Amino acid sequence: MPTAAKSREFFYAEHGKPLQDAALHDGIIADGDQERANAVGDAVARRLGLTDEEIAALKK
Amino acid sequence: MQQTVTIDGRPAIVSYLDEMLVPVADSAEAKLIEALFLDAQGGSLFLKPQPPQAKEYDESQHPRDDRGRWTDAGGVEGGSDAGSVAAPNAVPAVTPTSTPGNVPPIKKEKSKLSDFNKDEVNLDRDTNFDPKKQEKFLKVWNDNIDQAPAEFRKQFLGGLPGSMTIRYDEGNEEFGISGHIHDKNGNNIAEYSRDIDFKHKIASSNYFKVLGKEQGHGVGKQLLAGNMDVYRKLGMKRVDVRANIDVGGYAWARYGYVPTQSSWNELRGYIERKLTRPSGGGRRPAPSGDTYTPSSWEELSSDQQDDIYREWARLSYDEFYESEVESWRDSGRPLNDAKEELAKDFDSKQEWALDALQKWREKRGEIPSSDEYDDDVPFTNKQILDAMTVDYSDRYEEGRADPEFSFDDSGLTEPEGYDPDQMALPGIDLPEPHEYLTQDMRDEIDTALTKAFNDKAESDADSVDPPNYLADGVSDYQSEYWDQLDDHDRFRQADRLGLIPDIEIPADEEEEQAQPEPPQLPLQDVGTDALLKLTRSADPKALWAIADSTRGKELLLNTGWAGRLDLSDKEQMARFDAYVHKKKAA
Repeated sequence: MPTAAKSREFFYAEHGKPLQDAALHDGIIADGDQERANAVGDAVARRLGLTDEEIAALKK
Repeated sequence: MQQTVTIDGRPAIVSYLDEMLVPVADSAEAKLIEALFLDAQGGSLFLKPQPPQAKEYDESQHPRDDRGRWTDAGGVEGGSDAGSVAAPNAVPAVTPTSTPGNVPPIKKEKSKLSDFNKDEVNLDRDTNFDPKKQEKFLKVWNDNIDQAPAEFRKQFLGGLPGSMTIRYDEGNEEFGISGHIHDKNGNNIAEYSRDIDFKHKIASSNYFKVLGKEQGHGVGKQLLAGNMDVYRKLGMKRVDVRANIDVGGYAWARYGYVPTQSSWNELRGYIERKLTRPSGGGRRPAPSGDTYTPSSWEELSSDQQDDIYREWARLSYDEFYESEVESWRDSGRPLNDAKEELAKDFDSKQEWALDALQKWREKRGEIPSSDEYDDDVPFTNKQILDAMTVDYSDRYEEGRADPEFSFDDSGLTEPEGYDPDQMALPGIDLPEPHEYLTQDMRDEIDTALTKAFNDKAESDADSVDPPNYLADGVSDYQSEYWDQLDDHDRFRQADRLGLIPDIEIPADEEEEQAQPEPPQLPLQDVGTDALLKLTRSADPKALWAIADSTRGKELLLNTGWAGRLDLSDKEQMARFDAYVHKKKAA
């Protein structure tokens, strides 16, 4: 059984390719509540000194 | 049985349980209903099913307005929402017996070792058979979890069917929890491993692999949600994760994980370097002044491109090899090999088989004894195993087949209580010695040994060494993979590994550059400036705004960092819940 030393969280293996995780994460992100997550990220950015204009520019 | 419902407008999954908190298939048989809220507030609620209400309609209970429409107090709560708990045809009427977040009102009995055996939650061998370790384990379990093993497994796996093995580290008061997720046919579709450190209240997400990427995100999300619900109940402070595959460095940031300070310091330097390199073929002067750092694959000479390929192949070799090993494990070959080996070595000295019979006897309610027989099963474990053989074969060599056990009655000659000189009464035949082992007993032994055989083989399969030929093909796979990449991706791979060389500016160009140049327009736009500002913040949460930006995925692709989710941090949990506990719109 895998141990902590072999730390690989969320992945799959396909013959002939390196280990991958995109197909697992992309689905979760696509199904998520982007607005809610972005609101938290924006609040943090504001707290770190970014202006509303800069925050908006990040999304362009 | 589980259903997704709404309770007071909040999405929840309800599970129907019997008095032992084991899920039941028919909601009418439920003695208790557990509701697990899926929204940000989280929490759970235990509900007591009410007997079905009389069907007669009582207008006085449903006030209407002057146009004949039900008022708020008169209609059925939830309207046409078929998943609502209050909808009369969806589930039995329920009465809350506790509020979200409260400890369930039912005081459960403390779990005993036999409960783990009964619920098929496996424990490591020492914990199973060392009374002192067993006692400590049960104390940690009952002090912290206070839940039947089967119920814990169900919640921890987010309702997914699967297996669970717990390795107890008594020195660190830590559980290593691992197992497989199964599909509806019982086949393995994913493998997981988590650690729970009760002393420091830290959980670690160590390993999660899916065997088919198509449905993987649904399974992964459900497992993450189940894990987190349990961690919250257990009062864990944080969950650690290592983002180290292609999209993970971006995705874990979206889910609210933040890098450790040292990881952030490393990561922000890398992001800053990427941001300060102009895109679209521009040149960034290198520090020496007479060289520049290219920003596209085409700017590199073919010798430089070849050098980069060789270095990339060297640095990514382990990643490709590991993928080949994992693919080989997914194929079931090592499991098949482990099963063949177990069948070949089968005899009455095999610990796994002796342990299985011992646990079987305990399950039958016998007094545990390693080698003593009693009246119910009048043969010792050794006698039984000596009289058994096992065959194993899987035509596809995928390790999915079960072993076939059989009994040789000629080996069952000395049951307890058998007296060969005993006189038979006229007309009554005395049972043959082997008949003391009844068909029911044989069936139970077969079931117990089959499970133990498969469990042991799964455990052994992890330590089966991969065959040498896997390494032989890696270089070819790397070459094929590289050939399929376009120039942009080749440059990105090289950049990620720090392989982009500075290029010398030819002398004639240097002269040109020495001429006075018109003032340059700022190379960076407001968005890039904002990203750079974020990389200069010491606060690891700055990563979130980077990840949320349009360039987030590109900037964080293939990055590796150690991250944490602090369960008491509202911002982190809000982001986590936005993805993992988000109910998909119908």
